[in-house]
Parts: sequence; C-alpha cells; structure tokens
Amino acid sequence: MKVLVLTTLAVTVAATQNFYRLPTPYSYNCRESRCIKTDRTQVTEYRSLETCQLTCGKYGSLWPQPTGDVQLSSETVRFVPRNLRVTKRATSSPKVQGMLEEAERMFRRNIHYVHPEYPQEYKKPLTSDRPVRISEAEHRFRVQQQREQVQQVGQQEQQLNHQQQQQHNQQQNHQQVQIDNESYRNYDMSEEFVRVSPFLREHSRSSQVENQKVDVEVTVTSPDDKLHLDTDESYNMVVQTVDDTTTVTILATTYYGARHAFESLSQLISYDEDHSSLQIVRDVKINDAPKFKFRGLMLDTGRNFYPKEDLMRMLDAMSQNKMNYFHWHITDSASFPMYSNRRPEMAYYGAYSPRKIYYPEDITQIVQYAKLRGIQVIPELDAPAHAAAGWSWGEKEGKGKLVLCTEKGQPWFEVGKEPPSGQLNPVNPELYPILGELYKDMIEFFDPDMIHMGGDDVSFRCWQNANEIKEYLAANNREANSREYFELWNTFQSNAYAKLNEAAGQGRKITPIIHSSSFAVNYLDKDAYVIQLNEFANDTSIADYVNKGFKIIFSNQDQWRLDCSANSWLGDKAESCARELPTWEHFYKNSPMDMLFNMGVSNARSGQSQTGVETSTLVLGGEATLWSSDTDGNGFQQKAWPRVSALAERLWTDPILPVQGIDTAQKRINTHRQRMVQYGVRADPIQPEYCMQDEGACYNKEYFHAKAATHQQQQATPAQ
Amino acid sequence: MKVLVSLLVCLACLACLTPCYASEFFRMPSIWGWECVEDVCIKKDTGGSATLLTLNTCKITCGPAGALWPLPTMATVGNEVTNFLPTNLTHSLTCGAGGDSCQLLQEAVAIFQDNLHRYHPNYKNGSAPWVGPWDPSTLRHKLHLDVTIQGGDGILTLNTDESYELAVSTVESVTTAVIIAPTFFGARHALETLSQLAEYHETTNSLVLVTNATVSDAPAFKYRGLLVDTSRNFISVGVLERTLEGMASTKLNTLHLHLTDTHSWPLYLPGLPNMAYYGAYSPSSIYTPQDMRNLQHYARVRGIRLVPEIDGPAHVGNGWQWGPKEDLGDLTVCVNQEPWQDYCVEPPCGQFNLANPNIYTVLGNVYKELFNIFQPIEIFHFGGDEVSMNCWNSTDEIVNWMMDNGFGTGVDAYLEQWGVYQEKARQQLEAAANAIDVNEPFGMIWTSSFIEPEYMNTYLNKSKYIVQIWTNNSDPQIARVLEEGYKVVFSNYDAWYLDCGAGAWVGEGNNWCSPYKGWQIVYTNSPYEIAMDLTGNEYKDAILGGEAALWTEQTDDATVDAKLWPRGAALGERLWSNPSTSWYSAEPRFIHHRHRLMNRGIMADRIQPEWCHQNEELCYA
Repeated sequence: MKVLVLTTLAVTVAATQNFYRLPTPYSYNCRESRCIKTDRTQVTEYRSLETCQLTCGKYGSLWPQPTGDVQLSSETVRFVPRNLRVTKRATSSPKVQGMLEEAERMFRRNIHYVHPEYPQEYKKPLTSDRPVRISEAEHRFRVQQQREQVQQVGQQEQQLNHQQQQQHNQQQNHQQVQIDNESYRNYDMSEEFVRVSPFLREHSRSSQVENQKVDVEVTVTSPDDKLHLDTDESYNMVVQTVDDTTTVTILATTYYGARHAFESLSQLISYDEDHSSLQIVRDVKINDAPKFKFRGLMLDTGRNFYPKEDLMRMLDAMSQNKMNYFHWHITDSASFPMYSNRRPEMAYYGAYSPRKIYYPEDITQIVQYAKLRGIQVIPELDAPAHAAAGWSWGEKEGKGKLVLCTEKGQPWFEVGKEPPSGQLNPVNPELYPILGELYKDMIEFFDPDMIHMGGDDVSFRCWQNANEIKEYLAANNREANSREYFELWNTFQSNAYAKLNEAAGQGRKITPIIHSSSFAVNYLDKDAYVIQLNEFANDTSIADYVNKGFKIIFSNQDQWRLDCSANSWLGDKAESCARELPTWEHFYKNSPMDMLFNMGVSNARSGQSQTGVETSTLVLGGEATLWSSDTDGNGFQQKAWPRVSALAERLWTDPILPVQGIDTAQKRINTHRQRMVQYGVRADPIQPEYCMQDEGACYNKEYFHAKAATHQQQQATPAQ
Repeated sequence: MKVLVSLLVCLACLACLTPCYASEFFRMPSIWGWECVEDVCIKKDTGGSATLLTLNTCKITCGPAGALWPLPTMATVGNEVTNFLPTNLTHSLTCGAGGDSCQLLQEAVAIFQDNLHRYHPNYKNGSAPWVGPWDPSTLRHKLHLDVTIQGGDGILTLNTDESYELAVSTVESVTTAVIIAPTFFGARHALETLSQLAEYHETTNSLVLVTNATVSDAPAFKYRGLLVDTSRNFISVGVLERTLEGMASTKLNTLHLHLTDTHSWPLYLPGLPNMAYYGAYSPSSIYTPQDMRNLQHYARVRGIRLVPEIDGPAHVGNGWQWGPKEDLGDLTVCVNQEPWQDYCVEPPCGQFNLANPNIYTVLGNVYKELFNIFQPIEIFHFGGDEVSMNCWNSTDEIVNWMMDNGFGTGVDAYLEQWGVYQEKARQQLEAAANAIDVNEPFGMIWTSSFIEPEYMNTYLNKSKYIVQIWTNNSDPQIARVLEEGYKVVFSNYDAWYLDCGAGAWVGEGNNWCSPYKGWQIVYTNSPYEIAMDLTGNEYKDAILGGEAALWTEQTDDATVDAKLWPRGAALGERLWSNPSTSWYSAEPRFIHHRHRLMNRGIMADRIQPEWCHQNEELCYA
C-alpha cells in the first residue's frame, strides 16, 4: 500500500514539472478594431493576442463602454503585481479612506486572479475578517489542529485520490513559494489571495519587467460615503508612463466613482504569457459616467435558497459590470428564508431547513459587502400574493388565518399561478402589525432607500374561493366581483404602505417599488411609488405609466428575464416567458428610450413627456430578473452572465445601435466574459474560443454582405 | 486494514472529547418532519414529537426502491435504518478475476468510502467533519462489505457482464453487504447502489443506512454514453474527471471524447508535436499523453470506457496547417474560405484534401500515437459528419484530381470518394493497430449523406462499424441503417443534444436545435420505441444503446456541469433501466439523485423549487 502511494505521488509531481508549454505560432494585428491572427514568422513585430485585445479598437476591452472621452495607446508595459502600489489616497473622510482600501484590495485580488495557473478553488469572495470572540476562535483552532493531526496519520494509510494529491501538491508549492521568493518579503502576505498566487513563483524575467513600477493616485473630493439614487458615479482616469514608472491618476467625486475607476483600471490590465507578468496599456485617458441611475439585477431566493457565498459572488460579478442595485426577492410562497428578530416564527415555519436561513448578521454582512462594491440592496417582501411559507402559524398563536388558499387537497391551479399557492388575508387585521414588524426588521438589516413591496400575480380566484373573503364581503354588503377585489387589494396595499412608513419612522422616506399591474397604474400614487415594468417590450401599455408620470424601472420579461431556458418545471414553457430564449443580444439591444420613442412618447431620448416632466427623470433604468423555480447557485451564474453584462452596458452606456455597434460589442463581451471567468465567475461562453482568436471569422451572412457592400462602395468612390 | 480501523475509532474518541463544537453558529431547530404514507414522503408539523423521519431518511426508505437511481431491475428496500459512521467500514474481497480486477476493486472500495464521506454537507478536500457526541450504538455500528467477483479481466467491452447481486442485512451492530458480480464492473455498480442506501442524518451528524435490502440488477443497454466536445472550447482534465464522477454515480459507462475539430486540436502527440503547436488554443489548453492515460484509468475504475474521436474528412482545420512547411502539401482545404456559409456548416471551415495522399500517412501516424496513449481502444470514432461537397468541388486541386482520375465532379462522385477515404482511413487504423499488436477497434461513424445503402454497403463493413445516429427521431435514415443490419447508438438531437436552447453563436436568435431539451425529454426518449415506430421492429440486438452529446460552442470549463447534470442522470436511467413508466413517476427519485450529484462536487442545475423536494407529488402540472 505504501509503495503504491509513493509511486503515484512521484508521478504526479513529475507531471506537473514537465508541464508542456508550447510556444504559440501566431501573432495578432489590429485591423478595423479587430485582432487578426497571422503567422508569427510573417510579421516584423510580434504582438500577443492579449496585448492586441487590450489596445485594439477605440475601447480596447473596456466593458461597459465609457460614455465620455477615451484614448488608449497601442502599446502596453509589463510589470509584476508586487510593484503596483497605491501611492496617494486623497480624501477628507476617514470612512472613505477605509472604503478605498477595500476597493484596492478587491482590485489587487483581481489582478492576481488573471494568472492562468491561479488555483480555481481559491477564487472566492473577499470578505473582511469578521470579529470573532477570542475563546471561540481559539477553540475552533484547537479542534482543527486535532483533526489535522489525525488526518495526517490517516493519510499515510489511506490511498489518496488523484484530486487530493493535486491539491496537496499545490499547497506544498505555495508554501515553498512563500519561503523562496525573496522579493515578496515586504509584500502584504496576510492576504490569502497573495499567498497562493502563482505570480510569487520564481521566474526569469527581464529586469525591466521586474522593476517597472505602477503607482496609483486616487482623489475623492466628496466625503459623502452614502450610496443613493443620485450618487455621482462619474470618474476620470489618466494613465501615463514615463521611463520605468507608470502613474495612474484617478479623480472622482465620490467613493463610488473611484471604485468604478478601479474596475476600469483592471480592464486595462491582462496577463502576459511571454513574460509571465502583467501588462497595462501604456497611456490612457478615460472620462466616464453612467447614463442610467438604476442598473439592477433581481435574484429570487424564495423558490430556491442561495448560500451567502453565492450572493457575494453575484455581487462581485455585478461590480465588475458597474451595476448598482441588487433587488433581493427574499421570500416567496415556497419558502421564507429571512430570519426576523421580531417574528422568528417566519423562518422557523418557512425556511427550507435551519441551514437555509439568512440571519441578521448574514444580511448586514451582505449589505456591507455590496456597498463596498457600489451596490445598494433593495429587499423585497412580496405581497399579497407569493406568500405562504412562514405564515402558517397564525391560527396556532391565536391570530387567525394570515394566509389564504394554502389548504392541502385544493388544486393549486384553481387559486394561484404555481405551486404552492397562497395569498395574504387582507381582511385579517392581525396581518398588518406583523407586516410592520417585518418592515422594521428589514429597515434595520438593510438600511435601504427603497423597499420592494411585490404586488405581482395577485389571484382574484383565491379570494373568490376563500371563505374568509366571502364572509367578509357578505357581512359588509359588498359583492364578490373584480371591482371589489381591486378594492380589497387597495385596502391591503394602503395598509401595508402605512406600516412601511410607520416602520421607517418620522422624517425618513423609504420609496416603495411595486410590480406593474392594472391595479398599480389605476390605484397608486405616482409620487409615492416606483413601478417595475415587466411587460413585453412591444406592450404599448408601458407608455401609460410614463404618461401618467410614474417613475419606472424596465424589466421586460421577454428581453431581460434570465430563467426560462428550460421547459417549465411543471411541463410547458411558462406563459410569462418569451417563446425564444433572450440571448445576450436581446439583452443588449433592448433600449428603454428607443422603446418609449417608438411608442410615441415624444422625443423620449431627450424630450418631455405629456406630463411636462422630462422623460429621462422618470426612467430610472432597468433590471434583469431571475426567478429561481429551476435555478440555484449551481446554475445561476451561467444563466446570468454574460447576459447581464450586456444589460449593464445598455444601462451604463445606452449605446445607439447600428449593426456594426453590436459587432464590436461582441468582440468586447467575449473578452469581458473571459475576464469574468478569470475573476472566478462561472459565466457562459457565447462562442468557441476560436472566434476570439480570429475576430473576423465568426460572422453571419448579413454581416458578410454588408461588409462586401461597403468594400464595393469604397472602391467605387474615387479617392479624394 | 486493522491499523486503519483502530485509527478511525481513535478519531471518534478525539471527537467525543471535544465539547460543544457544533454550536459554532446560531441555528434554529426545525419544526418539520416526514412520514412515508403510501410510498410518498409527506411533510408534517412534528409538534415536538420525535416519531417523524428526517427528509433524507424518508427518501431512502420510502417506496419500493427508496431513492435508488437508476432504478434496478429488481429491488426490495427495507424501511428500517441504522445510524453509523462511514469510518466504520471493513471489507473482505474475494477476487476470482484476471487482469488488474482485484486492484481495481480495492480502489473502488476506497472511492465508495469517500462517497459516503461526501454525504456530509461540509465535506471538503477529501474529508468530512464527523463530530459527535454520538450514541454508543452509532459508534459501534459497522458496515462490512463482502464482495466476490467471479471473472473478467478488468477491461470493459461490449460483451462485459455488468450485472450484480447485492444483499444487505443487519445483525446487531453489523450491517453486511454481500455483493456477487461476474466482473469488476458489476461489483462497482453494486457499490454505487449500496452508497444510495445511505444518506446524511442531520440531527445526529452521522449517516443512516438501510438495514435490509436485496437488489438484483443488470443494464438494459450495453452502451450508455456521454459525448464531450473538447475542441470548440477546451475542457480541462479536472472537469472531465468531475464528469466521470457524475457518470459513475448514474452507471453511465462510456465517455466519448470529441477530441478534435476545425476549431482546435488540444491533444499533444509526442510523435506529431505540430498538431497541438498549430492547433491548440493556448499553451495550457493541451492534453498530454499522461493526462489521457490518467483519465482513462480514472474512468475505468469508475466502470467507464473512453471512446476517442478524431473527426474527418470534414471538421478538420486547426492543427493541420503545417503540411506545406514540411513539404507535405495542403493537408486540408477550404480553411478561411469566404463566406464560410458556402463551404461548411459552421466557421471555421476545413476538410481533408482528398487529392493529397499524404493525409493517409499522417492519419496513420496519428492513429499510432493514439494507440500508444489510449490502451486499450475498443471503439474508435472516425467522425464522418457534415461533409460539404461544395468545399471539395470549389477547390481546384481536388477538382483537377477528380477529373484527371476520371471520377467526374457530381455529388455522387464525391460521395464515392468519401467512401474511398473512409476505407483508406480504416486501413490506416488497422495497420496502426497491427504495428503495435493490439486489436483493431470497432469504427464508429456519424450518420450523414454518405450513410446510405449504396455507399455504406461498399465501404462500411458491418462487423467493423457502429453507426451513431444524430438525426431527429423521425428520420427515415434510422430505418435504413437498422434494416441494413448495422449496430447503432442513438443520439437523436431532438432529445439528446444537450447544447440546444442557447442563443445562436453566429448571428442572432436561438441556436439551430432550440429549444432546450428538458430532463423530461431526455428521460422519455426510447431507442426501442423509435425503432419500433420507424420499422415495426425493436432491433434489440442492433441497438447497443445511446449517448447524449454536449457540443461546446457555447460551453467551457466554467459551465459544463449544469448543462450535463442532472440531465445526464435522466439519460442514465433510460439506458440502464429502460423504464416503461413516465418521467413523472421518476421525479422524486430524480430530484433526490441531483442532491447526490451535488455531494459528489458536481454543480448540477435545479429542476424545481426545493419545495417540491420537500412536498412530494404536489408539483403536478
């Protein structure tokens, strides 16, 4: 047994050492904003694919495309991560100072991650250390040590499987790296992402690469560290290289602009295979600010649970795309995973399991994590429909039925849209104080500017079937018709809204968001509510909301909905899904302003609506949605990315679209997707890698004919 | 082995000495429990009583086959469980088999034990935090494996008997699992089944194990495969290994590697280094011979064979560019010809240069290298799909050659020459096999315009070829291939192409074979029924089995798992059990099996809200 283990170990080590490293026979030229593959022996100046991608075209591999002036030089300089330093951090606020340090950490982590040999299993959310009581930590450490001792002995006897061996070897390598590499002695080794970085390994690099310095100077002028809808997210960045020093100057009004600048800076840097180093574009100017204020992503954690780490990964990915709102659809009829201090019954009865609960400390950690990444979290308590799990304790505790239409034996399709059915009981006065308590908890955990109140898929058939409602209507001499159900809904919504205001407390305004519906458009106050529009992009009722003066967020389900890839989990495709799966191009092309313009909202891109308010102040932005009926942490990332990246550029840049525009977007989104994978996001590829290595090759017929036509035209026009 | 056992007991001692570790985080209790009522697990309010089961315990004991996947031919699963720790495992192995069967069995037992550890929700890097305190009975309880394999040589072939008998019984504190199998492969399937009679027990941080069960099992089909394309995008060895883990858990037995295509050539051949030098996407997107040998062993010990494919005469391009430099002339044609739509089905184009006899020499060398890497190769896949006659017919060198030889340039003439190519390629394969003294493998080939009676009867020897069907299930070609007497493997795209349903990767809209094939479709697709519908005969002898394909234009390392799984498991039950019941009745077991895949480290996609797992039979359409 022992002999066997030894030999297999030896083999694995040998294999890693004899790692085949073929050189590449290709060089890349930038022509018409594309990197064209050529035989290396045929060119005078060799240029790697990565260098070409960083510098080719007006926007290189920046995503989302900046909205202001951009200049990129065609050269890159090589450096190693150890020589990148933040030399100036100018801000009058100590809090902003601290936040900037976190943004730098994130940035430094990302540039280590681009090394192709960076161990994948170490790519995880970068959390700040949480305060842990010392005795507890000590205890945990001792248990860990005991366990490791036992394991070590056990391992000599047990046969390790292949994967374990590899991991083991890697760990050994990293430990060795730590001791070997003299030059990293003064580098910050307290970070795990540095300790395991393959950049620490010895390499025979030229002294020029070893000595190249990259100094980053950051100035933030405003001490305001709050993130809100009107936060100034703009930034200005200059990269200049003189001799062996590259200076990056970042200027931003707020922390949030500065962190976006770091994001752009990381997109000016990539791995250089030939020198085993990083490379950065030599000289750069970028002026940038977003076109829309609200660039969001909704995730449903009610139908399936997502561990905290999955949410953090999502926030990481959002921040790489400069998105700024995470709409958290926490609860649904299937489960209630939010722990409420005031109403622990909710999670006790409603969570899938005790492991599948977001405790207050989890939530505050997530909210803080998001904020550092420029993202606000909007919690949603969906109501009055999409509620069942967690509400079943009412009768036990003498509060009557809080939720209706959950009886076993009643077919779900008679009273709701999907199993499990359930809708809050609007005529039970005990309901509203509980809602108020939940809002209070939410406000404490999330500290939000906005709260989503749900308001989708209300089933009148549920109320029609429920005895409590029948009796209530009869007792009040009201008829059982849809007008009365609208009134009931209105009663519910008004009470819930009052409770929200009460929970917010005096002097504090929390804006409610609610899904579009015929109820919302007819009953709600345009100055109080923001409407999330789920209508298909060709649904002209969208214009009604603008004409009435509602502030709106676009979420067209046929264009910006992320699930719907499979047949529904109940059989056929869900009604609310488009028949065709929206691809990244749908996400990219769907333009709120063009949509309004085409619906006759006059001059939507710049002008005024019928109410005399500027349309652009009413359109806050957009949001992609992922309903988790058939998705959890395993499939989420690939369903979201890179399609949400396409949305991100739509909302940050709002590009005006000729066909060619899509074309350079495709090239950049391919590179951006690859970068996201390097940063640890499991994003789906949209094309074979071949299409990135030969940017002229993967065209469709229309493009080919268009290209041929332009070519002919050019030939026909006499030279001037 | 004794040393090991005592050590593990020692681990248990250590653990019980450590107080109150479990309360690291505040965690609520749960009010819910489950009860098995008429073969369905029903969620109930415990109301403080302890008579209800945990969800896992209910799942593995409720119903005639518990949560076994794929469904065995015959199974009786008891409804009693015992708590135990996976460290308390002993075995006695009786091995009457040849080759390295006995060594494989040792390894399979180690994998089995590891799989038990993997049920722990905090399993990480090969170990799980089993921390007590436990009942004395849990600590004492032992699982003893008594495994007998009767024969076989450790090599999986189309004739290998994969059946097994498994009997689980419990006397006092010992549960004994008696496994009897004709070959190693049956025995490892038995261990897989046995592992599905265990589950994690949340309330005691131990495992539960069904105390009594008998299973008698054999597969319905001999060939139960998955195809992974490693050329359109590179798939790293680690991901392939994970794929093999998933296949093992669901008793699939064939991994078909579509190694090369026009896009890239990731396989490093020591004798032909130019192939990967010109053809690999990057210096790190490469399989070394050692990678592939390790992978083959990794597969074999999990009951899986590898089928390597080197596609031709179409789907060749990158990797073959070096011909002119080495004075061998153009080995491929139509590369970079524009617009690509006229010369192939997807960019980049490329086909072998039929007029250049050097292609056969190089192919012969490639095959020799393959035989050195993959030992043995039982089935070699020639590819053979999607040849563009227009590509050949618009290449001067080939047109001239056709004319000079008096073949003409009609479509028939090109199909004829395709046949000649195929026979020459096969002869090279045969010669390469003879040169290093191994058996000539079966040749596998995709259906195409060439797979029609007038050509295949001339160029494809029925005893040497297996035809892989990729048309949709109503294509009359299926009937012709069966009626001509060929052995076939089904991969009809309308059910078993797992890449369908994404966006088009050239141009707009959705990809060609959209929509997405949900697990229900994968599960329902029955080769015998398709044959019956088209021919009035089930062709049970000719149909070797089936294979689901993941073409990787829009998939790579980052996203393979959720596309293969859990749909690959739906395929697994179709091919192992060939069920006559519908997907609906399989759903509760299927959902539970998905959790098992996750325990094995596979990021399998969800198919329903977790609510449906906890509330069986309430998510009806």
